[in-house]
Amino acid sequence: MLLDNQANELRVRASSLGITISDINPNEIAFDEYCCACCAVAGGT
Amino acid sequence: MHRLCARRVVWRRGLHERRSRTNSHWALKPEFRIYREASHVVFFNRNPYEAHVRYRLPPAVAFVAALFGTGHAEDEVAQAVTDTFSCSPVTASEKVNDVVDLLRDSVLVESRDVNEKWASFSAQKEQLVDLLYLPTDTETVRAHIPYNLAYVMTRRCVRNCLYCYASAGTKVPFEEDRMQRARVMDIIAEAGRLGVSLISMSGGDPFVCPETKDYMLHALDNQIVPWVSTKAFVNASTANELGRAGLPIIQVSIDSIDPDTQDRLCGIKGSLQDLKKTITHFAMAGVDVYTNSVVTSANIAGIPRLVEWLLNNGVACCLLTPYTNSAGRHDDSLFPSAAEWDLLRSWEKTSDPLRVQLRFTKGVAAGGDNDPGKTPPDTDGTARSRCTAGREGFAFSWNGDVSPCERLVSSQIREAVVGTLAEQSIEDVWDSPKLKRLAMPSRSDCAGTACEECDEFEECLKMGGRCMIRSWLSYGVLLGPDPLCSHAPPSPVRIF
Repeated sequence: MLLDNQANELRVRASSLGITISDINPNEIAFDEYCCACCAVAGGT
Repeated sequence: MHRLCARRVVWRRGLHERRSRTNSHWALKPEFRIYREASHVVFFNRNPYEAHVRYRLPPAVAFVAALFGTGHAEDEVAQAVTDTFSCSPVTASEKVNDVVDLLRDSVLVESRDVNEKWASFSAQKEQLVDLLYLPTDTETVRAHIPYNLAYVMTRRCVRNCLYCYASAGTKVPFEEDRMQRARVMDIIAEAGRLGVSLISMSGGDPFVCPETKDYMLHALDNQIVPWVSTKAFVNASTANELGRAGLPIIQVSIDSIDPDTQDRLCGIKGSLQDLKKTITHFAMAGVDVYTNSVVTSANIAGIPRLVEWLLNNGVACCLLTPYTNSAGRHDDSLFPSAAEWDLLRSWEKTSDPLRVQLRFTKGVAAGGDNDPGKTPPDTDGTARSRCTAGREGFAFSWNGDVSPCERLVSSQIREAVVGTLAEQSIEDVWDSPKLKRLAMPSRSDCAGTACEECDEFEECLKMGGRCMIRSWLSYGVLLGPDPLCSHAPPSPVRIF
């Protein structure tokens, strides 16, 4: 079993916070492209 | 979609046509480290060459992705979702299927395709239970801890590159105020405890510092990727020791496969042989060797020949980076012409996109061809910066001085210094008002610049649309517009 003995803890947590299956909403996934790596990559060494 | 968000893609379109159910085994790519922020969960790619793409997931979706862990069948994950949310197996299965559809090949990978090099270099993971939380409605822009740091170790170098943004060189003496080894080791250890993913070690050349190998090993011990770019000769013994310790990646900077051109650009005779040996030593040690070549007027014609040699001699990927103006060593004659760029772009289209990457050319297009002062045609906001300085990390120098980004440190711009790691902890610096002000300025902080009254101020702030070093070079201020922004006044200097 993937969850082994974690299943109960996760179920209690989700239930107590009111998190349900409908919160799994892949349409809200986003990605952002940054130039955070530019320092060492761009025009430097 | 707001025009400033052209590079931010939000999948609100319909899902892919549903795949036939194959019950494939998927794994979370081991390159990723998961950060829980108040409004979302960030999947940060520890591979520095993919770290510019940031995946932001709703917590419940991140939970499903994390369930795949080191590899599980979709059915197993669907069962875990059923158990957690007490829902029907059919609904759980559909949700898992949707998540896989959207994250396959970016965040999830088929288990058989997991990169073993990264899998053996584990990152601390958020516990599954901690991914079950209610996100805030207000979007978190600044990370709660730094994901990455840049350490400018020295300005001393083994080369005297004509284009060096740090003005580093062989005649620069070791700085007398360099931090002691013990202090740097403590900083690396604190970074590990906090959860920093990546430390870029730069200079000058990091390998002129006798402590560099130990710092890299210490970073690896603390689950941090030490990312080094070098132009030095590194012997087989050092490369092997780092390879055995799990170093996943190294960058070697190389300009040309023609010895005379290489020597001319880096100002040292015989450098090409050194670089070839360094590449070979790391490749033989099992470290993925990436190369970076700064594309200038002096080497652009020979780039195809250089790349061909590199790819045939153990290099995993060749990065090609346009020469840019910096606060360091600069000569306008190093800018290639538009015709030369056209030729290189045509050649690049015929190369393997997984192994040859021509980067940051948006700026080249916006900057124009030898026309300083021209307002760049940044009509959709894509040419200007997408900067994470002070928001996802910061840089510090040999003496501990902290600035938001590495270029500010390398250029020794005192106005950008916000603290010192010689005396402060990483956490203290991260929480300091000075760093926060530069990373997230108010309109009044930008007083007197085009940003102060700009209609797009809030959107631009959110996307990181300013570049402090380019603003400094163009207008003499840190908190002002990126000269590549269409709302910025003409720049008196050419940037690209």
